[in-house]
Amino acid sequence: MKKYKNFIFIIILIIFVVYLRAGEERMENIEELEIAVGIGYSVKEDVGGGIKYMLPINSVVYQENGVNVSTVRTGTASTIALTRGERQRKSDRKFFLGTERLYIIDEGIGRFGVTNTIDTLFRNPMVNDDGFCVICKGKSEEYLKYKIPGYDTPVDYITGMIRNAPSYNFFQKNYRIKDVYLMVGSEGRSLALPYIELNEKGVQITGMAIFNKDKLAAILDIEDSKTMNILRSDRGKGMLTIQGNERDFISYYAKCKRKVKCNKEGDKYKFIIDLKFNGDVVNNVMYKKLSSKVEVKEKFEKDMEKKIEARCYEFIDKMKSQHKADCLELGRIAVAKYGRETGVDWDDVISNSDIKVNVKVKVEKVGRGEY
Amino acid sequence: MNDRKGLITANELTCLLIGILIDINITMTPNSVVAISKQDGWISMALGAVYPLYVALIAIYVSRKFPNDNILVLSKRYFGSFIGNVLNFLFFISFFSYFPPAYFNATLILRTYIIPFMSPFKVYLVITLIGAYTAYKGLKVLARIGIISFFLLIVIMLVSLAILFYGSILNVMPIFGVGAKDIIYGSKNTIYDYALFEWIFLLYPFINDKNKIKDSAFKAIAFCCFVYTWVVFIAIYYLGIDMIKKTIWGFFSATESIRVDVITSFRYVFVFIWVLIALKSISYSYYICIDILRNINKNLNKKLNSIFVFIIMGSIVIFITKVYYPNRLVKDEIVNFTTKASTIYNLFFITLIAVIIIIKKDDKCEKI
Amino acid sequence: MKQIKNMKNIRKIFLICACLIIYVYYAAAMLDEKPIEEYDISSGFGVDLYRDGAGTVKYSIPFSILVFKGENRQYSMIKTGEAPTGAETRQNRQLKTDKQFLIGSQKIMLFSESLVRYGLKYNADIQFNNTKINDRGIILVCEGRTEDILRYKVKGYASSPEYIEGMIKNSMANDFFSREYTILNMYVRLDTEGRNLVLPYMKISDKGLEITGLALFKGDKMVNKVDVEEGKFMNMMRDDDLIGYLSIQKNSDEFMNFYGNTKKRVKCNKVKEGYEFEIIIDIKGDVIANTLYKEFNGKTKKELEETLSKDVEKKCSEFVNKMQNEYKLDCLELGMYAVAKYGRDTGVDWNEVVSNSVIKVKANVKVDKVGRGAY
Repeated sequence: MKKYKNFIFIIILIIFVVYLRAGEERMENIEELEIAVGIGYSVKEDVGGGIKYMLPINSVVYQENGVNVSTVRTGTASTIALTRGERQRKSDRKFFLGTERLYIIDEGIGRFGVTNTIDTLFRNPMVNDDGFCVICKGKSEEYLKYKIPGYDTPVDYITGMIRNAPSYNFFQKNYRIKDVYLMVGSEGRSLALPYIELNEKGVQITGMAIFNKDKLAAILDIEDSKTMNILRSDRGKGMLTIQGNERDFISYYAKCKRKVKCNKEGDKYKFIIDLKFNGDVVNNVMYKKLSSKVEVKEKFEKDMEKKIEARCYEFIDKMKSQHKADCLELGRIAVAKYGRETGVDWDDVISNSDIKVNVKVKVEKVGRGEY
Repeated sequence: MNDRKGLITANELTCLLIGILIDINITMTPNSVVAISKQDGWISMALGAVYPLYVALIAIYVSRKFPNDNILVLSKRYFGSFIGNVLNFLFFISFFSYFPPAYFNATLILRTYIIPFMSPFKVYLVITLIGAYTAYKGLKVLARIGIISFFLLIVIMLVSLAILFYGSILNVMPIFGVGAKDIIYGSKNTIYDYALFEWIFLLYPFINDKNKIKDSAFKAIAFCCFVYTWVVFIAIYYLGIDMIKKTIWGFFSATESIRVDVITSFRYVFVFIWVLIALKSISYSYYICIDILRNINKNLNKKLNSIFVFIIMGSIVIFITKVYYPNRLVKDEIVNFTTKASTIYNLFFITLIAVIIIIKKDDKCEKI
Repeated sequence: MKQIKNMKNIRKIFLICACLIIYVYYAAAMLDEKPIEEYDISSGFGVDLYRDGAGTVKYSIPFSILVFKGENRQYSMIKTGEAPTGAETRQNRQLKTDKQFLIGSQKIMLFSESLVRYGLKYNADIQFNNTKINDRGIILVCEGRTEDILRYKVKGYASSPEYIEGMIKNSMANDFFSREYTILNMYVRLDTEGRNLVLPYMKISDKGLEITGLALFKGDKMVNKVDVEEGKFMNMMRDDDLIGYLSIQKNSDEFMNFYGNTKKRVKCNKVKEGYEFEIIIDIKGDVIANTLYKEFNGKTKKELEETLSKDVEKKCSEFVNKMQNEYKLDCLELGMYAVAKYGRDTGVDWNEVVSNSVIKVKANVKVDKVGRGAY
């Protein structure tokens, strides 16, 4: 018996492994799978007055010869989960999640409320949490179907855009789904995502979409977006210009740091936002002798500080009166100081609070010389 | 089951103790503790270490008096064979009650994150085989596995340092904002994590240097306390309490945030490590349960050497897990009850033994 | 024994852990440098100026981007930034592109006529300040929109800037174009006293992309243009060490082509009435094609040289006339010589002074080789 011990052991092992593998779904070869790269979320009004979810999914079949086929399939159903079944019926290949890099959410869904969408994504552990999330004008299907020569799928292009956006316009690096979960779910935080548009020249980021809890509150143009990004985030990079008339201007490319202090007086909250800009002058025909005379440099710094402050206050007023949402995430700072889950509606509180902005501008380099 | 040399070093004892305390359930600890203590959950977690500390103190006292007798032997000696065995058997039950939940947790995490297509029964089967075989090999092997798990834990902790880049200190503030009362109240949720330290009562006879028991125990508690506190802290730091409530495995979700350019997702690296840690916990559980049974009845000793006993035990566990813990909600209810019952019984049991020893302090050391 | 082994192992493990932390720290801290695939590689860009609906001046700066797909296929795309100032166009362009753009790889820079007639200095400043820009990039002025030229598809070339580079190299080899139409030289000529800017001029004609002449600048604004033929002679008087073709054509059957290298010298004298300049051009080269002279010997060679010299002098003087009376510009940079001899910063307007001074041109042609023989 002892001699055969190993033999019996191996037999048992084989039987065991076969048992485990039996009856399980076969895993497919990669050429037979459609690799989903981008998912769009749209709603449309249904005949009966309800709404239907349309989820176009852009998938790529990677072939050995390098010719990759990109297709868009849309599933339409009354809930997001049901769209999966509907879509699979239209496809000849098995559908594969987990590789998607981009989630395009319609403006329409934004107005309706993004909770369902976010929840479906959150629940599924296969979802790629690092995918980028954007809000689009019109229907997401158009973006996924848009052909860009030289690119397998427009998803590559759009994700590149969002990924590289932080080098200008003070955009942030936190527009991924995993950041969206945090922005929507946490107390004192609010959601803000890039807004893209499709015109005859192509796809372009045209601003930011800001949310009040889970519903779209407003769409900011690029100038307002810059201001909001400066006030909202701890760090950012971008360009600011003072322009006198068409022949008089100066452009300043800077990194920005933000610190917020919060105080409570009675029922009213006071916020002090300190912004520090540190950067280079890249284009200057307005301030003569900026690189050689200290007084000119200091005058520019003061002028830029005033301009930025004016811009910030203008935006804050708009935010308080028009949008009535805490899009600067000041609530987060207040919560950290004064306690959580106290039942306070932070959007309301911030709209009625006192917000002061202090700006400091420093010029580091001025290029090789002055022209 | 025979330990040929039988003795373990002080380091091995420390790793065994760390191993029994930290299992895959650590990924869920932020969730349990944040419910009451909110952003101060990590303080509650640190305070919870008081429970194993008490166990350690009692163990050190008892082991000083009777360095070669484990607690089951002592209970039989002081209370007679019958009552002693009853007490021992209840001790066994209280350990055993942690066994099915360990199965359930490990399986659930594996099935959610990497192998959704396998039925739970198959996963139980695999875990049982591996765990049982490992436990069969004896204490020395378990000790070595404990050391490996210890280093795996260190790897996880070091990598989780990267989460500091992603979160914000604001999430942890205001510190002490919850109020001392709630913080202390919240630490009662930490019992599940710090449980089973009573194993030290069965281990100390095996250590090669009896003077090192105290050091091992304290080192183990300190390390576990630090690890648990850090895990809860970093989860709150990154996710914030609102998000933790929405997740099931808070620490796991926090580690998913780490992005390194080369590795597309840390998730699979981590799950791999957690699997090893889960298997370690299962094998420890096997060993303990059978060890206690062996001590209760010497006659079972011969029969228990055979591997069939493991199979029987495995079947019992799988059966119970399948029938009585079909889903998470039922499991939570049962576990809530059994945890409290086990803890109370264990504390009672060890305190009883200690008190008896103090009362009858003129008893000499008997050989078994 | 076991203790020591344990110690070594533990130390090794700690070392590995330390390396792990450092790696994770750096990777997770997300350094700003990116791999090359994340950059737009551009072969050329253009600077345009236009007025929008409200009449505001806007700069449009399109970049011609090469899109690489695998090893073989290449497409070129145009990505344009538009804004009221040159620097802001970068910010605007980033909203439309999926990569970071990399300055420094551009060989060709196109300035639209609308921009140069408005004034270069507003844009020159930003180029100057950017240390990464390719100072040796070649600038051309173009008619119409630079975007149209960048979009123009040339068969066999991935993008038009490559073709334009070839064109400009040809002109440098054939039309006595200077090798110095670069950014660096633009800065120098715009601001140095006595110097003057001239840039190649191109457009889309029925033949495709074509360099049709040179743009003349007064300060930083374009005021005139000359065609390639006229430009040859202006160049000869302006710049040193140029090569190109000269020809004499009596009729369609009798002609001679000469390929030569020019060198110039300028003498400057101040007289009571103003300044006197003498430009001496030495041309040395080979006869490339000849149906004019039956045979070459000492006599005919001399004859040829004289004929050519006179021809060059005549054409140069014609140009000088035009320059002094029509353009009223010092496009030969004669002011530079006067300044060197008589002092700087005297407040003199060299365009005016040169237009009113006496300019003499002398050309000396020397024939070196005449080919294998006569046909």
